[in-house]
Amino acid sequence: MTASRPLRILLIEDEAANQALVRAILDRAGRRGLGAHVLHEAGSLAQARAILAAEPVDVVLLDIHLPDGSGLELARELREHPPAVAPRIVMLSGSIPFHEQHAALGADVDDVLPKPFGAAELVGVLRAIADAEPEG
Amino acid sequence: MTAEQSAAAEEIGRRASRARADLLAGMSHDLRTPLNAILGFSDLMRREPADGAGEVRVPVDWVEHIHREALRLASLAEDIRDLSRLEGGGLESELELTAVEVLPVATEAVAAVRAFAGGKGHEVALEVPAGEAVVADRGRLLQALRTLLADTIESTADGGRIRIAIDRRGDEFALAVVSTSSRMASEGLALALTRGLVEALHGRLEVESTGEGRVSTITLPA
Repeated sequence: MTASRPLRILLIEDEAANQALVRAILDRAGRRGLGAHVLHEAGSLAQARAILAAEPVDVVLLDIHLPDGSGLELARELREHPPAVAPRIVMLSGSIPFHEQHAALGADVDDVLPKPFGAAELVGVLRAIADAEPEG
Repeated sequence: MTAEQSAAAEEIGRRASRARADLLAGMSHDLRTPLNAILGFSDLMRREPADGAGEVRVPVDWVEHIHREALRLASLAEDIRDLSRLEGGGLESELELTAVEVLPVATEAVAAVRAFAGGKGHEVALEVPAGEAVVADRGRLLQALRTLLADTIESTADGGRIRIAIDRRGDEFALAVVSTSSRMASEGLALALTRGLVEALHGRLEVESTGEGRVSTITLPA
């Protein structure tokens, strides 16, 4: 990916501490070689849908347990009706069993980042996505 | 035992073990959420560059998050202890069942969770008239209501509305905690503990999803 366009990330997570953690990891991510990025944050599926309708997003970091439903619902919606820029979907999972992770991976999700995850894991996933983005 | 009776007993056994598996899965999720923040922030801290004196400067909010989430783990540990005592029957002998006025207990429960609710921009409305009383152990009723309220707040989207109302139904009182845009909780520790406490008080807990949100009703003898 060229330096001209930052990686656009949408974090969908309702736990304040975990939102802050992702923010802090991204704040220090330059040291781990992640280039410029923009972070949008949503605390519910409704907020996420509003952001996705208004903004192009390259990657969605998606929690499963959200106040107004399951993150898997949104993943399915994004697969069935992708926006003009189809985002990569990374599930942040605290509790889904292994076989369900596989089902999610195969069907609607590009990657699963099991909680607890550290800076290295999150930045690693984002760097791989940034590196795979077409130039421009 | 007839074939029907033994089939019914088997079904009850199956349901109980499913409920137990759900509870353990819910507990694992409850524990992992604060643990994720504690591990994540402490991992970031130890990777910050140290100065000549071997000291590291970190943003205050990282430390605050670690502390707050550690407190949450401590409170989960207390919930687990209480739940295990309930299951062992250790709590019932300590219960003091008397007429307890609901309004002061509900007020105290709301005050206990207020800081937490305010942080998420929730509005908590107490619609309980003075003078209504149930038969309960005051301390355990307070614990049940506080646990249920905290769980409801946690599962309600930011800026939501939570209402506590009371309704007399014959010789029982139904105390409802109603929230907007609340997910249907998997039966985690909080609901299991609330249910256990309420059942020890000879009442029951019902939780239903209304499409809009969640209604949790504690029914207790008047």
